[in-house]
Amino acid sequence: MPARIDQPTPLNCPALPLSALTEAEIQERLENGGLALLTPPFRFRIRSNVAGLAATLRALYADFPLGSEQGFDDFTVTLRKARPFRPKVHFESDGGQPFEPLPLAQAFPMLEWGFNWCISSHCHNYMITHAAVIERNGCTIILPAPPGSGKSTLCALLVGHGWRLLSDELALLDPHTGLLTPIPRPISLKNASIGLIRQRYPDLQLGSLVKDTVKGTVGHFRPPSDSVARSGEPGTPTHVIFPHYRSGASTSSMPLSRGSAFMRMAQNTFNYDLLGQAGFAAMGELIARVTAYDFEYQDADDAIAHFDSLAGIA
Amino acid sequence: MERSLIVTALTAYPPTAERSATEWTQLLRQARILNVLPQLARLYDHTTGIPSEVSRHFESARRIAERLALDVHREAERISTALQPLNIPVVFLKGGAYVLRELSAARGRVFSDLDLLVPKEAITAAEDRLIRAGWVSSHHDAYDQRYYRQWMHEIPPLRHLHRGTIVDLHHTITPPTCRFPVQGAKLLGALNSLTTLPNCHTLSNTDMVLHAVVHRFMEGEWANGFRDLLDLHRLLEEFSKDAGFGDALLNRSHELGLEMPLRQTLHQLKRIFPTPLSPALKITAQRGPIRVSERVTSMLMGEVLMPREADAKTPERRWAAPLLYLRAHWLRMPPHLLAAHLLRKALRPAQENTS
Repeated sequence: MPARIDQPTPLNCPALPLSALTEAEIQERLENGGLALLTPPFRFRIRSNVAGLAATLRALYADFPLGSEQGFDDFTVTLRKARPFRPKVHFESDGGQPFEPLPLAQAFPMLEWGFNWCISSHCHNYMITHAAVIERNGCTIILPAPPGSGKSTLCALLVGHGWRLLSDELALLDPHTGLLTPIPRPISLKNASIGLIRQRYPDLQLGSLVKDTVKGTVGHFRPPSDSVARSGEPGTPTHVIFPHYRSGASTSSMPLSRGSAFMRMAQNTFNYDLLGQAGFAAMGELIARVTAYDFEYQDADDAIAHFDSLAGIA
Repeated sequence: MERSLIVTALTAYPPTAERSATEWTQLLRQARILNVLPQLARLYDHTTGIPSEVSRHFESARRIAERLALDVHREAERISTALQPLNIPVVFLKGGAYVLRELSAARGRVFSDLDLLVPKEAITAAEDRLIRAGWVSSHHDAYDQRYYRQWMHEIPPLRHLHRGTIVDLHHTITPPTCRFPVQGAKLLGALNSLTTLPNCHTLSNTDMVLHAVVHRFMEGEWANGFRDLLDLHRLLEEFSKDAGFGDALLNRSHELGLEMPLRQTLHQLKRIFPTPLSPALKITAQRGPIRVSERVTSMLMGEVLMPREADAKTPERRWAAPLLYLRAHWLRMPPHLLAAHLLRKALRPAQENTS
């Protein structure tokens, strides 16, 4: 096992969480040298001159540990406000500028999209699938998501109900071990889902709400403290469930053959092609070990009951 | 002269794992900014004691490079099959050539296009064969098509319908209208055959270096400037094991009219990399820029090629980059053609520009 040079995970050595800093202190770090934030398994150094970003970060990443000044940064990201009139924000990470500048109000969602870009374009040591991952009682479920499937809504419904969040957006599968690495960053919801989740789980904290993005209204919810604290515990995948929200549908599941489950997962995997043989082998092993099916739902209670039954909760 | 962290890491043998966390951060950041992370990762293939946070980024970069090398071999085979009936020499250039020849410059080098050279009189037939094999022209604008075919040393890029791979088909290595025209026939007269693929070749070693030189010297985009110099460093390091290589390179540069680009590029290379050069090449590199215009060029190039600490501006955003971009156009065609071309581009309806 190679030596680690960074802090151990929060599990075995609790570091100071971001919430230990005041908003002004966070702002100060963002503007000078950068804020080293551990969002396991990665550490980002965030630099920004955007006013208000400190408050949003503090609300949404409250429980995430701060990195030491001298530690190793996986990525240095910069969110820079430019132009005094109708200002826009520019995202940059280690020379990469994947996005066009966005209006100032969209700074936080842009940072989140930027984090996702850093991971999905630079971390091919994982097989990276566009999917939410949740766990309860050892039942670890991958919810792959073609857009509009209601993956994040279902994920938020279950996480609010007590499931552990491993990831809202990116399933990181280690091809060597077949295990899922948790990355429990804030849950992103769109449009009507935001109201639904707020109403159902008033305790789940909404940390950022931005209207008129390309994806409509985008809101980010703070991940549960327990999920963050357990981010060092990988998940052993047991299910791959393709959710599909359809108005008027009754809750139903339709089993998938291994072949079609494999193909559908591969379609949702960013680097399946790039990984070549290693990706084929990892995907094959994953599909061989999990139960896979299509899941259609409309009623939230029914959907939750279905998932609870998988985890052995009556 | 003190070399920067990234240059030392790319050139020191054996590579060291004894670095502080801050140094690793800076090194990976610089490597990403300069587009050489896979090269760095391959150097560390057999080094033990790399911290796990760092080695996983090396693993990731290595996977990108491995995939690319595999794709190059496969596409080269398909291209070779497609062009077989023509019975013409097919020459792989740049990155593709480094991979197929298994040169040290190929280790970790990532690129997006496969560059091919065929005899000028066969270029239309070759294009036709590639189209039948699934590669289609990516430029649909009539002016662009004519511009490439009339003035350039290549036809518009061909993109494969299903696999998305891009082939740039050349008949020589510099535009015929530029300050350094090179006749394709001269290059075809001294090829290095690939034993693995019938009728397939690379340029000879000297011409491969001169192509890398003239490409870097004429190019207007600087995001990959450092990577191009690293290629040259690796090529010269490998070829210089042959004692006569330096003199052969100088002679060939005179034959092809590329003496000045070689002198200027070697000068830049030596400022940044500890490349071993033969005595004759060393003298050439030391002479560097001679005329006033050469000195200006040299200063601008140094500005965009020299690696800086990771927080400095990236090469393409430094002040010299736009001037060098203009210079590249200036070198590419005589003023009256350039003026007509720029006017044409400027007057083109906006929607065509975006397509």
